[in-house]
This record gives sequence, structure tokens and C-alpha cells, in this order.
Amino acid sequence: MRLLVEGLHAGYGGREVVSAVDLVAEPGSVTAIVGPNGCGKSTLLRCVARLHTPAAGRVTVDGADVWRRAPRHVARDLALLPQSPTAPEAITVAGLVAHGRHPHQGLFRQWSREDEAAAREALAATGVAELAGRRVDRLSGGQRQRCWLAMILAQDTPVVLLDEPTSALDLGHQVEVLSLIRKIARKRNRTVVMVVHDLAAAARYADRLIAMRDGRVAAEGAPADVLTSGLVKRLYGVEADILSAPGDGSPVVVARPDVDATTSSLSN
Amino acid sequence: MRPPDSLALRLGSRSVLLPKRATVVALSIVVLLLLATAASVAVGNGRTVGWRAVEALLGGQSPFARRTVFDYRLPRVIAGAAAGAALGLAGCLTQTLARNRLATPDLVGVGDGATVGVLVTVLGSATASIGAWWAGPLGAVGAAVLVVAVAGGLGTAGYRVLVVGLALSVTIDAFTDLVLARQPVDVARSVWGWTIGNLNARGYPNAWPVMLGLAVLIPLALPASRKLNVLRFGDDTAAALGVVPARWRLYALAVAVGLAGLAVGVGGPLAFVAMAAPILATRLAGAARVPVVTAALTGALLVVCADTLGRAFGPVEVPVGVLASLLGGPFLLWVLLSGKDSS
Amino acid sequence: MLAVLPVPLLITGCLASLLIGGGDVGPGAAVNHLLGGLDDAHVAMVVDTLRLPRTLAALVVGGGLGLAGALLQSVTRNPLAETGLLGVNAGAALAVVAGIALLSLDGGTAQLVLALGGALAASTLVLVIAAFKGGTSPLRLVLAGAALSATFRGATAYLLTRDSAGYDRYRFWVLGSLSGVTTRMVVQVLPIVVLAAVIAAALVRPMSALSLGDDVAAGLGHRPGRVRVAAAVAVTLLTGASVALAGPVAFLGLLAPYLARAVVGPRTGALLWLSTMGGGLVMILADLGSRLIVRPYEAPVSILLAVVGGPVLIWLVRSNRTMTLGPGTAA
Repeated sequence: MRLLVEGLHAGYGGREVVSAVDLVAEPGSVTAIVGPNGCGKSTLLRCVARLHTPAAGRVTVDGADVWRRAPRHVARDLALLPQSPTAPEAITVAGLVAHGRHPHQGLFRQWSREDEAAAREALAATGVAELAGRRVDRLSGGQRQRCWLAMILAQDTPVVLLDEPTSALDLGHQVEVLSLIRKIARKRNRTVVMVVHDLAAAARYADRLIAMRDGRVAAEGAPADVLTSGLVKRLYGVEADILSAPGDGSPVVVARPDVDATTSSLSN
Repeated sequence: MRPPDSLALRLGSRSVLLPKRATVVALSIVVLLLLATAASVAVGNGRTVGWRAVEALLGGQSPFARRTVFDYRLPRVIAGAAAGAALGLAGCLTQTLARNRLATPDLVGVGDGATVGVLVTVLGSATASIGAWWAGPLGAVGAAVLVVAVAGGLGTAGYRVLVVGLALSVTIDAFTDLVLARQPVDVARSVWGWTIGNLNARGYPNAWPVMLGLAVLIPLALPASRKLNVLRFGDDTAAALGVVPARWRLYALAVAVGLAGLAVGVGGPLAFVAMAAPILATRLAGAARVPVVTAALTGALLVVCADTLGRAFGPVEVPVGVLASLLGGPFLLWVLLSGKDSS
Repeated sequence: MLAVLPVPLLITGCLASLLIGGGDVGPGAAVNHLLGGLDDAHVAMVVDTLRLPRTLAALVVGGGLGLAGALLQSVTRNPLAETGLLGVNAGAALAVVAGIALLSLDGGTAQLVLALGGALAASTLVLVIAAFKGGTSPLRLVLAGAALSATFRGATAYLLTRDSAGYDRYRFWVLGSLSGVTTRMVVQVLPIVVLAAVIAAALVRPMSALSLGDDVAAGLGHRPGRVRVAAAVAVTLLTGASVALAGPVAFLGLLAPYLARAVVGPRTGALLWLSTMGGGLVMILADLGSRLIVRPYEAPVSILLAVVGGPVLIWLVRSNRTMTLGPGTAA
């Protein structure tokens, strides 16, 4: 399903944090929202996920306005993995993943065959099936994040939103999780939108990049087209070179060290 | 795959998930409750004690014995069990929605509101010593509504509600103490006797309102418990799964206050039951989900046992509230010392 | 500057307490007596044996509870931590009731000693239990205190159900009042209060560090467990002394720190100082009020505190959006 954001304005108190943002995300693609701290990217995602009420604008999934529908029904179309999610203590992986089926369940439909199948599939797809009986709080960071992804998968929604899914992970686990995310988008034709801290990772794994600064969209398009030194300078105030990765040619951002530090020996 | 700790029962398109450990525990507690009822009925003054009482319960013995059991002792046990179940359930809901093991319905002024209600009806009438059955619940609900309204809603951390509840509690306590100090000592004593939690002379008239309330509120509590299970994940994840946190918290609190108010109307404020029963239930049934049914059963068992003990030693009865505190304190300490008590 | 402001207010309050009141002794006569100019036995009696002890006691009890409340809230990082939390009030009540029921006591030094002893014993027990098999984390302190308080309250209720005469005396003691306090009693508890104040002063810097979190504090060279124990000891001494003098006055220990925090924010040293001063001032005013409002009778001071303090606290909480006590989970 197609995710469409039109003219979104949102803020806290009197301060506007997201201004006139438009966004389109198509099924089968990964859209990454990047930008400096405080640019409004998390707020934008939260508005889309119905966690924050926008001041103006519309968010539609497959043409239906998410703010006009009951939360339970929206949860069947839209899933969100928040930043640093918390799980209740002592919950097992299987228990965690099972909770993802909640939007499809009811008081007398507590575990249907579809629920069983979806949970099983999710565990297999994320590669955590052997961990099913273990406690989530005893797993490593990478394993935990994969379990959360399994829960999102089990929720079986056409649109998947992720808020900084790899911030706390080391390089190996980052790659693992981002590859998984891309696989989910492609193989299951999902619309994936993620807020990512790491510009390089975004460039590598996303099909579309949306760069934000001060609440507005500064640039959008394919990473190769959009990622320029000029954009990096505008977003982060840092001089950088954009190189081409060997292999697939995706853009690699390399920041230049601070000019003063290297020229100190040349001063006067 | 399904959660490995549960059994899925299906009938057509309907399905129910039965957590294995919790179900076994619940069934065991039901058995214990029946035994405790028999024991409770067997304790008392006069000739119908011990085995004679149990036989009377099962239909044997003399009509007099049966009357003693069925008209005097059993109603009290049932009233106590119903109150305990209501308190256990209320405590479970409150602790889960506040994410705090110390959270009881008392924090929004339920116990104190009930006391005021009872005081008003006792002082307003010439002969009453227990107060009208509706006085407690009405006062309790009134106090809770006042607290939530003054605090301006529940908020996400519930911190404001707790402070306002505490302020209200202290104020009401002060007034109650003042009024009690002004009354003739026998009136004061009987009201005070009510405030420490007492099942003395409770009969079917006391039990019916609670049981009716339970019959209505327990079915209302079940959907709340499913949502609360999801709420344990934190507000963001819960909202993403389609559970609106604020709405369900308020709903759960309303059900909890209703239950606690009814329970207080029967036996007075038995605060510890609402705190201890859910903690005990979690220990027994496992921490994987919110132990709604187990907490209710545990609460019932605690009250029946405490009441039985209170009557078992000597001719003068020890009020059930006193025993609940005396036993509840060390119990809480045991939980504290033996457990993984994560902060 | 803010630190100095409470002092003249406090002095004014003390003077008001000494000069105004019942017994047909007006301000003029009281001033004359204090300056040594009057030779009237009645005036001397009213001022020296009635008003002076109450004023002193109000200072000690109010200041003590204010300080104790501030210490406790800082140390447990729990905005609901009131001075009864460590089991002090419950322990004192149990001891006093035991004295009434088993020894037929009725006020006086013996009751003072019992109250203090009960308070100290209870809170020592709480500390020991909280520290047993694991550090004294804020959560454990709160849980242990709650558990023990409940047990003591149960025991107290048990004793009272057996002794109706005892209940009659208990229901007046539990109201909390400064009447019947003698200067000698105040002097007897003064060393305890001073000791606690010294401990508190020494804890200002460690507690400031502690409010940044245990790890940060440890990194700065402090020992969080010990700081908490020391603070708990100070709280016990202060609260025990207050209960011994005036009976259970629970609200002040909660209200004074909130008032102080609304003025100076979470700066530990200023908070402790202002909370102490504020507590003393509030207590003096409350006591004065209790003597004036229903002349010639006395309104119990706990009512006044609750009726006035309750709305104030509620207003504070509603108007103040960020009232954090520092990082870390509230118990």
C-alpha cells in the first residue's frame, strides 16, 4: 500500500517542528528519512504512526486517512518499531512475537490459525526461530532487535515504520538488521519508511532518501542523485566527500577532518 | 508459533489462549479456596465446630447445625471471599496500569473516600454501626473521581494523580481522626473498628452487592486485561499495536475503583490485599502476562484465610484487617528479600 | 539572598506566636514580660509555660520535618516519599500504644522516650532489611518501609482492639498537637535534632552528586549506599524527635520540600535549608492558627496543615510541569 503524507505541520507547545512536509512511499521500497538532530524526522514518523497529533495535514495509507480510522484498524495497516522499545520483564521471544498479532485478535479470537502461521513465518524470516523459548532480556542487542522486527513482521502490515532501528547496534548487527529490512520490503512488497541516524547506512540500503532540516524537506530522491557534498554541508555543516562504493556504486559519505586542526602547523 | 507456555483452544473461528502455568495455579487456588471455606466454617463458638460443621456444610447433622453454618458462617466467608477477589483484581489492574508494584486503588483515595461515606451514614443515623452498604462504594468512587478530576486526568506517569491522591488522603484522614476524637468513645470505636477492616457480622445482605458487582465488573475487566498486557510494552509500542494508552488506563482505573469500592463496602479498607494478591499471583503464575484471574482468586484466598485465623485464636475475634496487615507486612518483606525485584 | 529571606519571616512568626494567643494575655503584656519589666504570675505562666514551649517545639518539629522530608525525597528520588515512609511514624505509634495499653502511660517523659525509641527501632529495622542481600536502592527502602509500616500498624490496631481505654487515649494522640509540650521536653530532644542537622549538612555535597545518578556519583568518589544510609539515619532522628514531641504530623514532611523546590529548584543545599526554614515557619503559623481559630478551644494542628497544605500542594503539582528530582526511576 502506498503511504502518502500531505502538507504535514506538527509541533510541541508553541513551537513548530515539522513544516509543510510531503512524502510518498511506494510498496516494495525502503525510504530513509535523514537529517541532523532536532530536524523533526522523529516527530514526522510519530505523526505518521499516530503517536503525535499533527497541527495540519493528512496521512493516508492506500487512500484512507489514518487519523479518521479506529486505532485497531490502522494497526492492521501500519506497524511502528519505536526507538528503544521496552518489553515486559521475563517475556520470551515467542511471547513477544505473538503480541504482534494483537490488532488481528479479539476477546474470542485469541490465537487463530492465521496468528499461528504469521508468527511462525515471522520467526523464520528474521532467523530467530531457535531463540523462541528464550527470554528477550537475556539476548544480545542484535538478537533483540531482530526479535522486535519479528514482532513487527508478525503484525503483517503493508506499511512498516522504523524509528532508528540500528542506533545502538555495532557494525555487524547494523548490517544484519538493515539487510533484513530491505529483504522485508522487497520479498513481501511492503512499504518501509525508516528514520536513520547514519547517513552512510541510509545511502546504502534505501531506495529513496528524504533529507530534513529545520522541519522541512531539504532534498528527496534516490541516494545517488540526492547525496552531494552540498547537501551534507547544508544538513550537518560539515565538509564531506562523496565517493562511490566498489561493487554497487552506492554513494559513500566521508567527512573531511576539521581544517584548523590540520593547518595548525602552517599557521602564520 | 504460539507462545510455548500456552494452550490454544479452538472452536470454529473462535479461539482462546490458555496459559498453562496460570491455569494450573488458578485451579489449585480454587481447590485451596474450597478447603479454606470448609476450615473457616468449622471455626467458631458453640457446638457446631470442627467436623460437625463440615458435615453440616455437606448437608448432614441437625437443622440447627445447618442453620448455624448456612445462615451465619457461610455468608461471612462468601462475603469475605468476594471482597478479597474484588480487591485482588482491583490491585492487579492498578499495579499494571501504574507500572508500579506499590500502586493500589487506595492511592486515588478509595479507602479514605469509603471511610468518609461510612462515617457520614453512621453519624447520620441513630443506630447504625456498620453504615449503609452503599456508603462505602459511593464515597470511594466519589473520592476517586475527585482525585482524577483535580489532577487533571491520568497523565502518562500518573505522578500527579498520586500526589493529589496522597494530599486528599491526608486531608480526609485528618478530618476522620478529628471527627472520631469528637464522638462518644463507643461510636468512635465502632467506626474505627470498621476502618481497620472487619468481617464481623457480615451476612448475605453485605455479600450480594459485591457479588453482583463482581459479576458485572469481572467481564468488564477481562478486555482491560488483554489491553493491559499490551500496555506493558510501553506507550509507543502499545499505541502502534492499536491500543490507545490513555483510554485503556482510565478504563482499567474505573473498573478497579468500582471493584475496590464495593469490596470496601463489605469489609472496610483491607488495603494490603490489593497490593499483596497481585504480587503473589505474579510469583505463582509467572510474569509473562497480567494475572487477572489468579490475582482475584489469590485475594479471595488471602481474605478467607486471614478471617479464619482471626477467629481461631481465643474467644475474641481479631479483625481481618489487622491480620492482613500483620501477615502482609512480612509477606511483602519476603517478596523484597527473596526476589529479583527490578527497579 | 533567597537564603536569608526566611530568617526574618521566621523571627516574625516566633514573635507572633509568643505575643498572640489565649489566656487573656495580650501582646503588650507579653512584650513587657519578655523584656523583664512585668511581675505578673499569670502572664509569666501563659508566656513561659504555654506559649514559649509551643513556639520552640513548633520550630523544632516544623524545621525537623521539613529537613527530613527534603532529605528523604532527594535520597529516594521519589516525589511521594513522606517522612512516615521509613516506618518511623508507625513504629512510634506502636510504641506509644504499647505504652498506653500495656503500661497505662499517659503523656510525659516516658511516652516521649517510647515514641523516640519506637521510631528509631522501626527505622533501623527498615534499613537493615533494605540493606540485607543487596544495596540500599531507593526502591528497596520504600518497599521495606511500606512493609514494616503496615506490620506495625497492624500490631497497633491489634493492641487497640483489646483495650478500649487505650483507644480513647490513642485517638487524641494520633491527631498530633503541640499542647502539653514543656520546654524541658524540647530541650531533651534538641541534641538529637542538632546531630541530625550536622549529618544533613555533611551530606549536602554527596547528595548533590547522587541526584545525578548512582554511577555518576560513584565516579565522583562518593559511596551511594552509605550516603543513603546516613540520610536515612538523619531522617529517622528528625522524624523520631518530632513524633515524640507532637505525635504523628505526617503532611509537613511532604509539603515543605515541595514549597522549597518551587522556589529554588533542585539545588540540594538551598533545598535543605529552605525546606527546614519553611517547615518551621509553616508549623509556627499552623500552631498559631490552631490556637486562634476556635478560641478558646484548640483546633488540631494536623487538620490545619492538611486543609491548607493540601490545596497548596495540589496547586503546586498542577502548575509545575517539570518537577523532577533527578534521573533514575521513582520507586
